[in-house]
Amino acid sequence: MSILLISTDPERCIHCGACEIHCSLKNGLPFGLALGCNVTVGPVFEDGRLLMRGLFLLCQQCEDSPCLKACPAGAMARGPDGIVGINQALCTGCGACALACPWRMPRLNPRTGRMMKCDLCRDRLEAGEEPACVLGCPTHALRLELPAAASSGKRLQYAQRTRTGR
Amino acid sequence: MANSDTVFSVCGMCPEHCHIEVESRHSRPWWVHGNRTADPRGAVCLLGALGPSLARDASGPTTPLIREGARGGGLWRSAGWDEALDYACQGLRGSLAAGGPDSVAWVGWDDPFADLPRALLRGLGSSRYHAQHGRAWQAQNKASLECTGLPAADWICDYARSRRVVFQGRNVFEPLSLNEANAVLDAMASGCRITAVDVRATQTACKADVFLMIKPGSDYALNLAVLHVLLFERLFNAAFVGEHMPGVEALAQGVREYIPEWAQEETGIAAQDIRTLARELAQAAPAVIWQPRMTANCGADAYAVARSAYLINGLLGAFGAPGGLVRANGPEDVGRRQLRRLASLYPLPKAPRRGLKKSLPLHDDPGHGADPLAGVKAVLAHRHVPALGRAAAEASKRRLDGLDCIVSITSTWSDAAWNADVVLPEAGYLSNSSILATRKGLIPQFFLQNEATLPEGGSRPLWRIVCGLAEKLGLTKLAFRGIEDIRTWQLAGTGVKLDDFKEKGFVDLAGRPAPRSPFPLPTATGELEALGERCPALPEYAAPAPGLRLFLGRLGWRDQGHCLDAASPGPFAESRIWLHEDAARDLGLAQGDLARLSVAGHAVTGTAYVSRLIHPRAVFFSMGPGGRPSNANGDGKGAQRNLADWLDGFIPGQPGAEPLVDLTKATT
Repeated sequence: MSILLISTDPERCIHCGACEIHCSLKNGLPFGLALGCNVTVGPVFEDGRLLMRGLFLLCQQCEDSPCLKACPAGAMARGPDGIVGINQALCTGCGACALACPWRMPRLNPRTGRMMKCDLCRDRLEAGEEPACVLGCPTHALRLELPAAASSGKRLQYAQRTRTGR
Repeated sequence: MANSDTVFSVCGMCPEHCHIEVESRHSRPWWVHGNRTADPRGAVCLLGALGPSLARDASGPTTPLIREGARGGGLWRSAGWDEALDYACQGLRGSLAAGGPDSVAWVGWDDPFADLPRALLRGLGSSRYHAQHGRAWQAQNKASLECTGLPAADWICDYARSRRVVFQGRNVFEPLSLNEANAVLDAMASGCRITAVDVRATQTACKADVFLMIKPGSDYALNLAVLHVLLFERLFNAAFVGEHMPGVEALAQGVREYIPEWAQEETGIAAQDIRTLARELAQAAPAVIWQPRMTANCGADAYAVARSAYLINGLLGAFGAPGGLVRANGPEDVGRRQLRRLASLYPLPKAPRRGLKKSLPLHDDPGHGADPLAGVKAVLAHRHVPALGRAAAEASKRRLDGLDCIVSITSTWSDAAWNADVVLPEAGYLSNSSILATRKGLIPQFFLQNEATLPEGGSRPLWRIVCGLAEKLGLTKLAFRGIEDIRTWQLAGTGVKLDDFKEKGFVDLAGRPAPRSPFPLPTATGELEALGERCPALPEYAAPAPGLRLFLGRLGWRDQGHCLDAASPGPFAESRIWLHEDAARDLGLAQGDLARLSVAGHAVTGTAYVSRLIHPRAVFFSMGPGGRPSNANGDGKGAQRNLADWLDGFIPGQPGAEPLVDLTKATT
């Protein structure tokens, strides 16, 4: 997987779908098309509690990438950051990457005829900025994290919650 | 970022006016996100993010238009700006000559840039500036004025330091007030506990620590019982109440009978839960907030609920306390000077409206009887004006017939535009540049709207339209030629320069939050009025009438006038009518059935969403987009279009305002 990941804080997510909109507009996609998917479950009763759960499902940047192997044009490559990107100049839009992906993450951009996939807004990362979805999320529910930092952060959050009784 | 120009501005998709950065390429906005230097730091809600899509959609008028044929007939001819402004001014002059200055009115919204149209009216000698307010806001504002002497907007909920918050009918995480939602989430992460009181499992209810599902229309009963517990268990903040809340003895007598067991029968909320809530609030006081702002739960009891909420806050000592309700600061409260007022360019009208102290809701204007536009012959209608839209209704038709001149200043095809005599197209907010405005808060600020792209077609920013009218009407003091001229004029004497806005798009007037004691309040006693001159007795409690009660809500995608509903993806693409399993069974409705919801002779269809997570006596429906017949936006499925005639006349807090509905299975 990539060095970085985007996590969803379920306590802050309000399931509004703004993440998809930011992704769509920043990447110049037609309205309604985004490179990530806002998935929401609920409201449901679970263990006597009323819950809504959601997360922004993005490309997992799989270590053993089916999409990368499937591309016949050599358009897909993994960078040193672990992010799998699509070279738009080489892509033929055949869709083999989408078919190979168990999550169907790569999408065809009908405006360009090329495939696109989430690359954690690598262009913004290289400029020292956050991915569009992370910056724009209305409630700061998305975080760009190092996996190890995410883990320790979660444990600290749990400890604090236990202390306050929430 | 690379290959992108960035403009600081404020969003125009809703009245919050959140700070934004507009990223443009080749002068075309392509992405909007929050201003990274202002709260909430880069974030913007999905409506704000949709701004560029709206700009591209551009289905509103883009050239000045002059009516041909009958009003509302849809026949127009394009005109140049000179001709259109002359035409508008001819109509205004005719009304002035026949009916005097107060025969000309401006009807708009309570927006921060209102100083310029107010100045125009003053130049004409008219006092008729009408700012329309949202329905729930009217009741809450009245309650705040009576209890505290201040309008509701002057109180800020200090969530950051709060320990206990109650949201009553307020879905803080859906109809999004961005800074407020983030402040609440931050408070929750720091241990603040939230109770949500609502008829339905909203997003807020799902995040709350405690969700109390309440019988529709019985919120006032809950509040009376909480007041009872606070008073008779002596849980109120005695020191605060002793100093700042005279009349509490009379208040106690007024709530003596409203015990929690009584409230349990009325609300369906267990008496013990009511006691627990009151006790938890008392324990956390004064860092508590009983949020008095309601949105969905609006009926005849709206005023009573809001007023009792303010009283609960008072008993807990929340007013002026960290973590409670604190007073918003204006520039003078932090030792700075206000912006120069454009309205001061002209004297106050000679005959101000009777009883008018501030702008009032359009539907409730005691100075002019039941019809707020009585005596008006010419209207400058800014954007959507319900009073000029209900052509099907007799009262509205009479009103339209009685107006000699309707000038619509608009960026969309609202009903007011459709029924106008001349349309002056206003630029959309991404291509609009505004005068400076003041935002009150713990740190007050000056802010503005900047154009990120050229106005669409022949549309113009509002300042240019108003100044154009002013010039034609001979009001030379308002005939500014450039927006920077206006802004420079406004800033004179403030110590702030125009260049100061370049860094962040706004200017904070203080270095850090400046909390201050709210006392003395502008009431007769200088204190909170538990019961006083303006409200000598608590409103009577009246049990809600039996039947299914309608709750309309705002759900992000679907619920503003600017909404690209036609392309809404995902779960919000359909119009869902929430109802309880029991109600559905009684009505013969199953999950996914097409259903017709009727109220007072108006109907809308939607898809039945059957759930246990809504009270059996409640029906919930999305407000929907402003898909009026004259508006190309929207799929026309929302309440705002199909129930428009009922909605426009429904005033929460007024006797008889009971949103009872019929629900039947539909085939089409």
